[in-house]
Amino acid sequence: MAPSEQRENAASSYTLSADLNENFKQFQTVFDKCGDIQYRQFEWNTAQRGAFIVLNGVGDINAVNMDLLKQAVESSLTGAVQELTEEHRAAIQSKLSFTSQTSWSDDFQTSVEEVLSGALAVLLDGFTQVLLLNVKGLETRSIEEPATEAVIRGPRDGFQENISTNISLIRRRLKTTQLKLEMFTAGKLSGTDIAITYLEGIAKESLITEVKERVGRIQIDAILESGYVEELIEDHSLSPFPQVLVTERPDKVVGNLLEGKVAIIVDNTPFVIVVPGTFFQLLQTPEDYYQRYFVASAIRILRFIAVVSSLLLPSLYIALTTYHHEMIPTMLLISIASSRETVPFPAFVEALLMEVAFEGLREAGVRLPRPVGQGVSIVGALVIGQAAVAAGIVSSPLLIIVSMTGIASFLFPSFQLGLAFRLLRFPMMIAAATFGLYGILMLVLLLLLHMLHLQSFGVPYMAPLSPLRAGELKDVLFRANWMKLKKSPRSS
Amino acid sequence: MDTISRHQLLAISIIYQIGTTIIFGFASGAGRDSWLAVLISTVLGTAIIMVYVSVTHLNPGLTYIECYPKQFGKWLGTPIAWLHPLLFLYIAGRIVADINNLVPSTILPGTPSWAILAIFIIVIGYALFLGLKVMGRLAEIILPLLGLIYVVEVVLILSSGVIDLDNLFPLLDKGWNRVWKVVWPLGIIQSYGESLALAMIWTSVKPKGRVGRTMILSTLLAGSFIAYTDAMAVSVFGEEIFKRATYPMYALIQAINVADFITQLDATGVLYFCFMAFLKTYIYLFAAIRSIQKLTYAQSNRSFIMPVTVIAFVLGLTMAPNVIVHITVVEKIVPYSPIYLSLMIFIPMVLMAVSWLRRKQV
Repeated sequence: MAPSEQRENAASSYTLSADLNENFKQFQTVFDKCGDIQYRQFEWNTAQRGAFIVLNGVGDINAVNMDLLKQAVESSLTGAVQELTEEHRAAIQSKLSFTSQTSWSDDFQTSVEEVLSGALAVLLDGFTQVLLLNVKGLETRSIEEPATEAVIRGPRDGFQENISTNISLIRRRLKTTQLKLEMFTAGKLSGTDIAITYLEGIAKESLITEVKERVGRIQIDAILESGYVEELIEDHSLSPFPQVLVTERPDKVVGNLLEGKVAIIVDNTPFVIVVPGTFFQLLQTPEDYYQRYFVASAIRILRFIAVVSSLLLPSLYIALTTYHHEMIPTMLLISIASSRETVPFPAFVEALLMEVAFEGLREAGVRLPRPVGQGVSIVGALVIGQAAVAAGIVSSPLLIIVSMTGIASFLFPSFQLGLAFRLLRFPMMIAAATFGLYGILMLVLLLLLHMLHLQSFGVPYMAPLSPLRAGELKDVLFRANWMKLKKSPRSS
Repeated sequence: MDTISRHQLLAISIIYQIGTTIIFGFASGAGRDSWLAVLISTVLGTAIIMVYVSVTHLNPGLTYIECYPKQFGKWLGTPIAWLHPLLFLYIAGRIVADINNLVPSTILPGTPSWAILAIFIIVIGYALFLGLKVMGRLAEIILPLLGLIYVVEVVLILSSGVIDLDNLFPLLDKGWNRVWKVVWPLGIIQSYGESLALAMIWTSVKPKGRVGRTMILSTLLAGSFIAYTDAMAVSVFGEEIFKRATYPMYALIQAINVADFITQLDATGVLYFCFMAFLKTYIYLFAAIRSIQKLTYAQSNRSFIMPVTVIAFVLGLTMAPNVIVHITVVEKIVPYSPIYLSLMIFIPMVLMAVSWLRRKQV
């Protein structure tokens, strides 16, 4: 048996005794080689002693005035106390309850867990119970503008890594008791806090139960990011499409809660999951609702065009230049042909080269450290630029196609959905290269069938377009005036 | 459960009934009176469809196929019922053969036809595995899109300046004779009699009821669409070319020419056709699979999907050596065959009468 397992077993089997030294030793064994643990011992009368145990950095030791704590103990237990009674406990607790949340635990294992998540444990001679003061004080960064979802008009606050801060960001937008929060813990080693939040009476009861059930089922060693949770609770793991909404924006989460969705907040990540996720919801931004509705509608239509072109533009180019020249207007055909004259590759290879180069550049731009980043844009401008044409490797019409595809894929409000379409572009190009427009049609049909088949927590992925709920289309295909959207739609 | 809504049924039916006429034209034998022939066929076709509807109405809860054993008894009913999946498979094979003839000869001249059919069949097989629900949703999404493309097409044709309304007159100058000739039996069987396969999906409509009204609506919409397109084709080409063209509607798309910029849209026409053929083949194969499932009392239809799609693939690949044979068979031989006429028109009428009488007795 490994030593760590031994320790764990000892911890789970140990019951607290009335002897401080024994308890203290047990804590020391469990926290063996944990350099961040702090012990302090003190005496509250001549014969009897006590001890504090806290984890540095997790529990904020300055949050409780140690002297105050000692005084509280001393004044509640005057004289030599032989047997500690319920009265004593109540007295201590009432003296401390104004400084922080306090509780008593008679289970050793629970006390250890509480210390690990930031409690100050107070051991007292003669007590078989441990006083736990919640002094959780994790280092966090300040609330900043979300890096991945910027807006022109709209609130600038974004989630950060601390779950309670994130919850407060939601709470301050919904001052109602209907907003419910249920806490879960998942991850055998990480013990990550997960909060499920929804608006009671607006979110469907069946959806809430389903989400709770799936989150409760999670069995994993550690959860480092909400992506773990997403993958563990989604309906179809064999699909390129994201089936939940992931966002850094509190206003987006609240907007979705108002539509009857359920949000899952995971500790240590600014990315909050909203379920069920549908295709059209992934194509919306909160700003659609802040800007004037004419403009917002136009931008939504622009986004639909972007979706189609990011998927189809390169493959249409391949299909038309390889199989269906006759469809290209004559003058355009001549100019395409003349610029393709010097290019040695077939259209498919040419397009594949450029698309792969472009995807590579994008990926490099994300990973590179800031100071080097400029280098990428310079190289990028050369590779996907006039130099490539001058070198006779690609034709200039293709360059325009690749750039337009790039622009289109930047228009996706959801990065995850954009990734799916970027990926699907490549099979689409293969289909176009082998079967022309017919191949594109067949692959599009296949994709459509797949998307229509997808469900997220019982909600069809393509709803409300299909299955059709005509009343809700006014907030999908365009954005109607708020006068007409007042009633929040229900997810079902 | 694998159910569809009424709206989805409407979308499926409209696409199904317009179907391949979008390329092959409809009733072109009647020349400039073809649109009139279409309208008459539509009215008679609606009557035929009402027969199917009332059969399923008189035998609630049963699919169309199951009515035969129930009403005609095991010995007479079961063999008749078994003819249906065979018929559906045959027609599905015909449509696959349509693809086999049209696609390689128009947009993909160098590609082997088995490859073209293979991916067609694979997509259909996938759709069959996903079930009717997904197909209903697909139809629901595609129908408005097709409508939009059609409107664009009409606008483009109008702006191409090729329409000559004089081509439509004089009306009925050669008498009613040639109109009746295309109406019976081809006009009634094509699109409307073929809606027999749709009868197999009516039991999947939820909420129940008003299937008849939905079907009438879809038939009238599809009929008027075909009539309008026919009239447009005649006014563009004139009677003679229209009658002789193999693919009159395809030619219609080719006629588009706006300012010498938007021209040669034939490939889009073929894509149109491929989608229509896709949905039609799907419905036929679905009907065939469900019939076999009901007749063999199988729990699930999954195990039939593979064999049935493979059969359709082989049928489509081998059915017709060339376009001429294919079209001649489709237009001159099949509609007059006793199996077609009796399964689509006469036996359903008898079935309806028997069902009605037996219900009255009870």
